[in-house]
Amino acid sequence: MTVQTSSLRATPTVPAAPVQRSRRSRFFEAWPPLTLFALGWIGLMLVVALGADFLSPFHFAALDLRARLQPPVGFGGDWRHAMGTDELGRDVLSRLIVSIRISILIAFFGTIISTTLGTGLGFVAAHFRGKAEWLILMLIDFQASVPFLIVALAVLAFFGNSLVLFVGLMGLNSWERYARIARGLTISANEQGYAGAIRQLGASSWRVYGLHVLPNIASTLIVSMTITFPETILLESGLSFLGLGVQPPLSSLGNMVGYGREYITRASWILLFPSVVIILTTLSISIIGDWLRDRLDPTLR
Amino acid sequence: MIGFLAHRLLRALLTIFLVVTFAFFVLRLSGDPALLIMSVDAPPEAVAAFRKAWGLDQPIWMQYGAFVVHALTGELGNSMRDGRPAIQLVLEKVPATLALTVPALVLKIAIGVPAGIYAALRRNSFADRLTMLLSVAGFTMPSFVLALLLVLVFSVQLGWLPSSGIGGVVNMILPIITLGAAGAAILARFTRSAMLEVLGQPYIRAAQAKGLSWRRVVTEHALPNAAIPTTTIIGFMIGTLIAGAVVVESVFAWPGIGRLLVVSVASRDLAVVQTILLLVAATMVVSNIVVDVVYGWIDPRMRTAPK
Repeated sequence: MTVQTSSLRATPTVPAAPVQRSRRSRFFEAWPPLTLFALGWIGLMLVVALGADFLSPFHFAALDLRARLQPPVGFGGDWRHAMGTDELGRDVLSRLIVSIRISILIAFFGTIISTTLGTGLGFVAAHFRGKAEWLILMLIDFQASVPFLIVALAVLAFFGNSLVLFVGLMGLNSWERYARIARGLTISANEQGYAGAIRQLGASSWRVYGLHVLPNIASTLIVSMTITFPETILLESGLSFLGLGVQPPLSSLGNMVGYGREYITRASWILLFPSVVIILTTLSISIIGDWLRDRLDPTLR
Repeated sequence: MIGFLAHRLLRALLTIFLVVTFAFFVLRLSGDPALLIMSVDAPPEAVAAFRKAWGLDQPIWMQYGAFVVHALTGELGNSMRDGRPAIQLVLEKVPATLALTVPALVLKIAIGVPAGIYAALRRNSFADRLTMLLSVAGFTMPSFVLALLLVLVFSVQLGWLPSSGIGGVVNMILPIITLGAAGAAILARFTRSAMLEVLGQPYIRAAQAKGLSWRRVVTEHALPNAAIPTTTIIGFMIGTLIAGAVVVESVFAWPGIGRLLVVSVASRDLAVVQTILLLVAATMVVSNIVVDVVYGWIDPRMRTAPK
């Protein structure tokens, strides 16, 4: 009897349940938990990068010689230096915050430069065809023929290092991807009706490419940017790790890992925190990129 | 086939030529090599003698011509650090690098290809998702971070393996795993998407429709077709055998090309840097040609030269 009543009582709620569940599952289908986490992490990184001056508890280069090699909270340290300190007593959390700012800034400008340069050259190649296109295709071949890390190392060997040169160098990374995409898509756009129609209406080439072709290929370019951005972070941190990228007293995530390597046996937290930040950041952008690709650009699947 | 090869060779030569040009101009744009190499307070006569010895007193286009001829005949100057020919210095380090990168390549293929095939055949299963998540994690993780994490666990905590240096096979285990992991991740992702692409083709449905078992459809129809794009990526990996270990060699203090490159960059040993640049470009270009030939061999559609 009790079974019967409970099942009877349960029946009215049955129709409501699938609706509720489907709304929630629909939400998670559009926004998978992993993507939400990734978006949250990138948001946090942006806040840290923008508000570095307000967030860091100490100046990133301030020494505290009485508190050298202090472990982080939970491993015998205290809240004064939540992530511990390094050999010179510098606060790891403060250095991490400044490093995040530098690394994000370099990756951001590097990606912007490479996208602009590549897309521009792609448009030029598709517009003029002939000799200009041939020259650009040759440059693309060249760029693709040598791993960029090697080229970057060669340039750094010859020119020495400065932050401006370094950011510019990061901007030369993988421009050829955008050039290829922009050229291919523009050629096919030029063959479609809309570009021709606007041209017939008397629009200049700038207008055609900037206001009509660009918005049409933007989603593909944005998805490619989610590949270039983590690549640039990896490249920058790799070079900085080798001591050839961002130079002290400035600090980037790669620098911190490179410095922490000396203390791997005694103070592994110095290298663990920046390592985790690098991994989570590049991983998050890749996850967001996959998600964006599925939403924006079914042709890339 | 002949036309196709000729076309490829032409493009390859052009690329090498561009790299030589790049090396020349980077050298020139960075300043007067005489002043760069000699000390600031060197006597003017010595600088002039140096310029004459290196042909720097001649017009730039003649210098360029001489540089290209020298580069193509393998004369790339002497190392500033120990005075020996740069090419000799560089070639000496090749075996050490290959000792790491070749086993790593085997590891990449042995893990990446089966994982990719498995994931594709069980699309959207838990195993597929896990493989893909691991794969994304694998190639977004910088090699130096992975290397240091491995050192932290296996050398510092467990004390099983040495953290760096040369010696026996034990010294090579961690570098090879580090190099292999990222490559396996890329290969798994690539193989999976190649397989998925092939499995969606009409001829797979046709093969099924004529009553072939699923096993035969996969082994006889899907795998050979998916092998074509996968070959490209593996070929690209062969091209990076020389230069793919720059960071990992530095972490593990392994005396290969990558370590030499980093040290030479830090000490501005220009001749050595240039030589490595050219060697790397040549390796990449040659491996690209080999891939194209293999491509033509396994895929008859590719045998005609592109217009």
